[in-house]
Amino acid sequence: MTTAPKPPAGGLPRRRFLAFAGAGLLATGTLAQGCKKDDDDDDDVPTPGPTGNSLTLTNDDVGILNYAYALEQLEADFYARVVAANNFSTNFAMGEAQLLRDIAAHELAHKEFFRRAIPADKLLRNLTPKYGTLDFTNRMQVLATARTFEDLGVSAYNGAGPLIASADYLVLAGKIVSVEARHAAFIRELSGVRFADSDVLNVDYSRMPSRFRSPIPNANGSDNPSTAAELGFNPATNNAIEKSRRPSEVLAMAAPFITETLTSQLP
Amino acid sequence: MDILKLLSHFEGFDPEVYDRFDTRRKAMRQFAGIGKKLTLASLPLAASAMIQKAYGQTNTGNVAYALQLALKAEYLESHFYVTGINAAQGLGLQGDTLGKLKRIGYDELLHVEAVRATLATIERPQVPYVGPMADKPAGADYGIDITGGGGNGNGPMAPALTNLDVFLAAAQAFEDNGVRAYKGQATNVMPNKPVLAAALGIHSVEARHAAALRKIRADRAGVQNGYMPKPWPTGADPGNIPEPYNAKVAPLYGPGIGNPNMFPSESNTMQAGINIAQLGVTNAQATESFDEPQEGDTVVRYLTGQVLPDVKFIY
Repeated sequence: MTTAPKPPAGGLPRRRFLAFAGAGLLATGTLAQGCKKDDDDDDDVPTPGPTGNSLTLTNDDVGILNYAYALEQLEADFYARVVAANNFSTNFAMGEAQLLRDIAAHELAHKEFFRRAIPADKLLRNLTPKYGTLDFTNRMQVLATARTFEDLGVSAYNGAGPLIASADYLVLAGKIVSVEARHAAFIRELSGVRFADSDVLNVDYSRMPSRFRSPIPNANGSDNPSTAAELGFNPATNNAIEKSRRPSEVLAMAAPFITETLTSQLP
Repeated sequence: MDILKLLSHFEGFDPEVYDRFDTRRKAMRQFAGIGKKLTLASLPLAASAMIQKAYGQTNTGNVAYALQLALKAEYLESHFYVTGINAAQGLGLQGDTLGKLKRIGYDELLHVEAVRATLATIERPQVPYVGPMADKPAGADYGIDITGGGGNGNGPMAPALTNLDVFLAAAQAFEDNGVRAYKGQATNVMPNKPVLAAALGIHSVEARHAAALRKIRADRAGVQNGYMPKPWPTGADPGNIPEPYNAKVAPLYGPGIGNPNMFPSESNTMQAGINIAQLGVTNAQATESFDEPQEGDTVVRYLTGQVLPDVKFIY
């Protein structure tokens, strides 16, 4: 039994993963593309994934994956334009520019991952993002839009989580959302606002106590533990839990950035 | 539920499935025995319990386990921040950094209340205390020592209470660990949608904290040559933490002890069989693009000194 091949680190092989999750069979050929040997991974162009035809988000796990794919398409396109803008390296200090390039790479990775993970016959179309009057050479405009996308992305993944039927997809969404939350916190700090505030959390920082006390009883009785009352805790409005958005809310907010019209059956 | 079909599903991606049930014949007998005793309606539950036993706490729900673990982590974090904030003067913790840490500490105190209140509807939340092991009060279930000293208050992380750089490094590790721990419990709380929604909403806040702390540390180090640490872990590196502290927190970024396939280290680049490093990004960026969950039992083992004998935050 010890000679039997083990599943690869990171979970199930993709084909098994999709079959197990009930998402149907993959079009043949994409697996080979995804596994194409390529050692120089620095400046290389990714092997092309399949191109989708659908503009419909079905009310099931595939629909949620396509929903995430739509948002990641937007983010990836946005950051690709940010780092390609003419004065990018003068608008952003070296350290900032490096991290924005990393974020652009993370979003590209997310997008390309979904493109390969979603069954090709159900894959969402390549969307055409649009940005209205956004000036990609303007630092504050770029950061404000980045903040909108990142905060929206976190609330979108958090809102989609309870709709996901497959445990494997839930874990994958979890692996991505915390990276988006790290992006969001960093972009907010670059924009001159706190990593989080009551716009994204159910929190009222005006209720913060003037003197902090531990919630844990002390064995020698030197201090009483803090109480929910003195913290102003409220199970709905002051719990420091991040606000989530349903897909319908997110799609309405994302629609101005997408040329195509998506048909969503998601709640 | 077709047990044979179910087992063959597992066999498909886990060739050792029958080993996990000891032997194929025994597995069949175990399922058959259950079938005799239980009604058909309860069979799926019994089967899922057996699968849970075979695979650890990965495939089926265990809401109480997840919330007790979350509460431990929130107690530890909030007590750590409260202690630091109250020692701010000695630590040289002031200005904007103090303001951020107060917000983070307040968030964690609210998380304690939120998790405790939710858990109380399911089972009795375990009660911690602070103090030497010998002084454990009646009614307390476990002790917490933010120095990792197992109750002596003088463990390897004790300098965090006098040295701001160590304090911030420890905070970063706690937050990164919190992200992994919550993520690792997502499937356990999955059957209870309100709890899942709350856990996801805490999980992303922990990630925001982690990124904020990493930026505070990078800004303190000077960012002329780039942010170090970055707001996210690269590979399994804890993130610019000096020795001897780096070695004390490094296991938090490694694989799950009981199931490294399901819980790979933060250096993992394979997601659902797709190698992210071949999608047009560097290997480092591929590891950064996906945060990995951590196995609950590994978190517990680490915190209770079963991974590094001299690091014991919970006793």
